[in-house]
Amino acid sequence: MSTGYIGSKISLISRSDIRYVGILHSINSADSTVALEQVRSYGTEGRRGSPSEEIPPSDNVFEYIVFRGSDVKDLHVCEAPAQQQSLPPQVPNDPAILGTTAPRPTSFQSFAPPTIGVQLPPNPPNFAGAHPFYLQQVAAASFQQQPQYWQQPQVPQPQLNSNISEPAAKEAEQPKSQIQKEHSAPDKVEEPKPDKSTAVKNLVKTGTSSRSTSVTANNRNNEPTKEVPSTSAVEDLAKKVSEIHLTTTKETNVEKQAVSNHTRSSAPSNNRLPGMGGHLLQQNRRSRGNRRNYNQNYDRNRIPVPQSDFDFESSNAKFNKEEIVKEVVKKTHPHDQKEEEILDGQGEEEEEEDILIPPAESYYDRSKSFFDNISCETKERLEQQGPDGRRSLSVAERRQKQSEERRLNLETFGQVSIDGGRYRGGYRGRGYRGSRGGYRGGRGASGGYRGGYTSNYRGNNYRQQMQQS
Amino acid sequence: MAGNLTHHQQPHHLNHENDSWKKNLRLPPKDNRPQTEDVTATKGNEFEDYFLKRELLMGIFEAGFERPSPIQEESIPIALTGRDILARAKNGTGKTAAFVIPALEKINVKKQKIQALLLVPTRELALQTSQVCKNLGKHMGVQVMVTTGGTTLKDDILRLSEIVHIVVGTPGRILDLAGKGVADFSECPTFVMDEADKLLSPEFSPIVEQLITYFPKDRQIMLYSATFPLIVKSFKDKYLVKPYEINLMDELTLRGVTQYYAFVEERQKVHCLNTLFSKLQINQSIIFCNSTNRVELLAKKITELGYSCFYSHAKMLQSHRNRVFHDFRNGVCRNLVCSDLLTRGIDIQAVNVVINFDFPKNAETYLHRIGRSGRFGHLGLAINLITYDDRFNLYKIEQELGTEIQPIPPVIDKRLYVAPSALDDVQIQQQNNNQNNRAQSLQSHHQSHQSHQSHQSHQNHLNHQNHQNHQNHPNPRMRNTNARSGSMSVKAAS
Repeated sequence: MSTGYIGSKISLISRSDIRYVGILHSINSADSTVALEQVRSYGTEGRRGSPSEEIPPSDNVFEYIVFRGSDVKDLHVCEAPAQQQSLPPQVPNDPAILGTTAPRPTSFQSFAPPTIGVQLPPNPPNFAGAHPFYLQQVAAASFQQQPQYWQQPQVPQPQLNSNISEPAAKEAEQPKSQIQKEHSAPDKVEEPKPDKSTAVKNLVKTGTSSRSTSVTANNRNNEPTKEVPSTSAVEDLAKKVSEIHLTTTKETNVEKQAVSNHTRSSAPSNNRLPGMGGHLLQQNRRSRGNRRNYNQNYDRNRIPVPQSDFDFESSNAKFNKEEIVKEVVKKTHPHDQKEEEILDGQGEEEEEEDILIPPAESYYDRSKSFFDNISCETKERLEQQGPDGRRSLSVAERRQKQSEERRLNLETFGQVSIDGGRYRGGYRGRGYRGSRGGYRGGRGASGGYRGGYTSNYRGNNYRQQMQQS
Repeated sequence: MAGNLTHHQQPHHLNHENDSWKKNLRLPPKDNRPQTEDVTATKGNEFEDYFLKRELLMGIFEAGFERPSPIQEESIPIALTGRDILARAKNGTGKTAAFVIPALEKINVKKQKIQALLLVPTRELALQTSQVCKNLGKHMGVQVMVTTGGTTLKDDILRLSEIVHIVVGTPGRILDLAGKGVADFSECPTFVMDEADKLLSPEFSPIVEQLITYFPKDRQIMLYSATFPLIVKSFKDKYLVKPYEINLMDELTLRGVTQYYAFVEERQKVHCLNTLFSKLQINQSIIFCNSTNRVELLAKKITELGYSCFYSHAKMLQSHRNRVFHDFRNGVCRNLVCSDLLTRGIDIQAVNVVINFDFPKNAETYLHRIGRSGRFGHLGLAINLITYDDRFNLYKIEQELGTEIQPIPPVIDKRLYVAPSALDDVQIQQQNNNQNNRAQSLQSHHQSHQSHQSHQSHQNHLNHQNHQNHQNHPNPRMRNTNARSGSMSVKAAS
């Protein structure tokens, strides 16, 4: 990270053509984010070319906004750092800003992220509030090392959103890209909003400021700007940001996701390690090598997540727990005509199920026995076993189970497994996963999946990797 | 801080003469969240009542423990007598310390032998338990070793050539070390099994039974868990000598955990989860899937949706699993997607929401999963995504656990799962936004608190009345808090 420009006044144009001016707080190349403080929106300033689509400037000053690098269309430095430490003098142009924001705290105890090192979650009030003692330790121990996690959009806070999320509507007018990525979390699309009093008040009150603005971007750096990028170092900065954001130029909307994964993963970073969500995005890319075309198709097959909230009420209304009881009763007393009539059409397809539920008190009653009789893994396993008590699943049964899971995964995720069933290198090679390869047995030389038990799994993986490269 | 404690406890232990040592304790900040009777219904014992070593007491207090929880009150004195124990207490009510404290007390640090084995079913749990040992025993000079599969055997052998007083680990590796004669249990009087029913399931019990043969005849065996299926009885009859039975479970489920279901179609699950993320005030969450593939697929989806998440499952390298566990515990990430690998014993106090993205197949798994929230009597939420195919399991699990899983309401009262200190800011806004709705919801909640007959009260039967003034609880019992997570950190071995 080039620290030389921290504190500089930066002008930044997002992909949705809105220009923001603020103090550069940090550039995180690992996360491909640019963080500005004391941010003002100057609106689209005619860049959209159509008066009806223009977004007017806003008087709001946002304490802190994290921009996704890939969504930054243009960025340059308007003023060198004013002073290293004191923040208010950094916005000399706009006395109004001073009037609306609280003095910035100098330590993280008040939740505002003063330095990158102690970056707190976007909704620190909960996190900290729930565990004051916990957080102190965490802040000291973890955040300093791995601040980048918190710069990514976090769990939205409905309460905060209720004040800040109006701009989401605005966002909707913008070119629809990042379909997969954006629609979900309202707090990712914050922009300066009309209702400044509440927004600013809220920010000041909670000190919550680590908010990520993601606006759409393409990579045209063709916007002429008024300010003159003075030095080569400035270009360097701009380059950093453009490096951050890739190759997106000609990608279609849906493809963008894959590509952005592609690019981001080029910077080795802690959240790309196995066990961290980012690793799965990265792995996708690695395993495919250069076969991007495949990748794109692959991503097209995803199940889209609707932008609207899931309607719990109407969904739950489709389900009547009482009916289950009747179904169960029906099974227990199959000759009860009356029950059957009530249930007509509902339970018929479940005839093959055989569930007998004994009365509740027989599962656990402290006064009668120390032990319980609830369903458990052991019982499940015993039921699966044959009379010899040793039998595990037959090949056919295992296949059936696997195909069942594949069907389910496809339904839930639009994918069978994370690697599309083709990549099993690295850590995945551990022994018993071999069975997973079962249904793909036809894949020629990758065979030997059944040999994937500990003794030779390394060799096996090695072969697979060789094949892929 | 030390002053606080002394002031707080003075009325209770006038009989403990010289307490000047307490002034030098380095106590962690208190956790003032409300707690349920699952941990507050004590007899009023003090840790000093058990005549523990001064050094051990120091470790106990510095770890944030103030007074023993119910299971600790029952277990510690009996365990100290050397009698076999069969102890049943709910998830997250203090079982670990209930056996670690007596185990530590009985260690003679001058004796260069293994004197206690703490056996657990999973590697992460081994790390966690060994860390509790180290924390509580930090002033004693006790040597604790953790050993699990997935690590280099050679390192363990080297380690055992040095002094080890307490071994914490998983069955396979420990049997390996015992069989090789590297770990010597011949003078080890204490054998503890945590999550004992899991350790005595068919997959582990042959190992455990073999392991016992390396112990002296008069060893003390102690079994702890929240679930004890009948299958454990045969082990008990065979190996335990007149075991002292402790059962603190009137019912199986935790009182502080409110359980909801959301009926979904399989293909709506991700959408539903996404909405939950945006609606809930998640401090930290654990999201369970029913297979390794699904863990990875979901973790990827969540990441793509823009939320931070970690994932863990049995097919990952142990070093990666360890790092995930360690970092998640330290709050590096808000959401953890995992398989049933982390279903048992894992104690992360910051977790206030558990989501069963895939509904479990049996009551035991369900119970242990939802027990990851509501740790130490605190409040938490369990949300189950239910498909049509899950409906019989839903019914079965409700019946077996004697609990009710309710349909998720349009608005979930945050008081059911958010710490009061995190609630205050929120409430002001809520009142502005949603005044009527909220007021009604709160009211009905309070009513249900008062009438213990209703189903709701069964779940939300809290021992707290004072949301606003949580800093000064009128009831001193409320301060009986174990701020364990503040003192917990597990080193990622790699």
